[in-house]
Amino acid sequence: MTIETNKAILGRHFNEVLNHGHLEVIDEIYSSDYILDAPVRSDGSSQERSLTKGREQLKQRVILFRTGFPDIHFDMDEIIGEMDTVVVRYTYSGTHLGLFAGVEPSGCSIAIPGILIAHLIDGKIYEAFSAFDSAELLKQLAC
Amino acid sequence: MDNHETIRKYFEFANAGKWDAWCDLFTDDMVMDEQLAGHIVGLAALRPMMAGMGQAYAKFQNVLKEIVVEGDQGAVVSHISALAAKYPDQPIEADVMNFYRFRDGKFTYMRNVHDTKPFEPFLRQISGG
Repeated sequence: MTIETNKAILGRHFNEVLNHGHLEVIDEIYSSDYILDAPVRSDGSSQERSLTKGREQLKQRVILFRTGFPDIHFDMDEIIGEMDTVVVRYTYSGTHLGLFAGVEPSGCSIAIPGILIAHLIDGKIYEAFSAFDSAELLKQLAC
Repeated sequence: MDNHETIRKYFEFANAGKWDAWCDLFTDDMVMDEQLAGHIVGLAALRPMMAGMGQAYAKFQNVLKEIVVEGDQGAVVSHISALAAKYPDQPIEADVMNFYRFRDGKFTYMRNVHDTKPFEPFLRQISGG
């Protein structure tokens, strides 16, 4: 796969999966043994970093964020690639209208910058690390 | 110096406590969005801020784990192990990502992202706690 092809796969992750909630796309672009290391537990029970393992846990994580922030939108601010690795600098924004990480809906608007690094093989994402400040996210939920 | 080398020097100088040489890796008109320090514009503003690093931390090690460079943009994953000077019994351990833009082998922009929670001892220190 070329770097541009891998970038396009990350584009599908942000636009189709995260922004539009097309969970079936996860089966197309993620390996079955996918691992994500990122803040906010995918079961929504805590803000601590944790591992999301496999496609089903990833779907649960996407649902968690899209339930908490029904209008959530990820902007891909910059994207680069080298070999089989792609990095995206992103900002996500939305309105807190649903239960999220144990916090009742506040109506607060949030905007959180982050950076994601993803490793791909044969056109599928098999490992990723996402950095953002979960403490800042919780702070913005208390507007 | 190519952009990979600039990144390696960023970590080499930081881990040696050579903060003036570290600042020399940035252009005069650099811009930095730093998780703890905020929005910094210009090397003239950055240099005096970094001069205090040696006193702020009893230990500061930033271990490079991965580099990605494409043209004049780059990113890294690293891990910081540190001790705030006032709270040396409360270890700071944090995974970090940086995103860079380069011009002529120097950093012209950097964004740094990590959880602030591990840095609580440092934040307590600078707030006078």
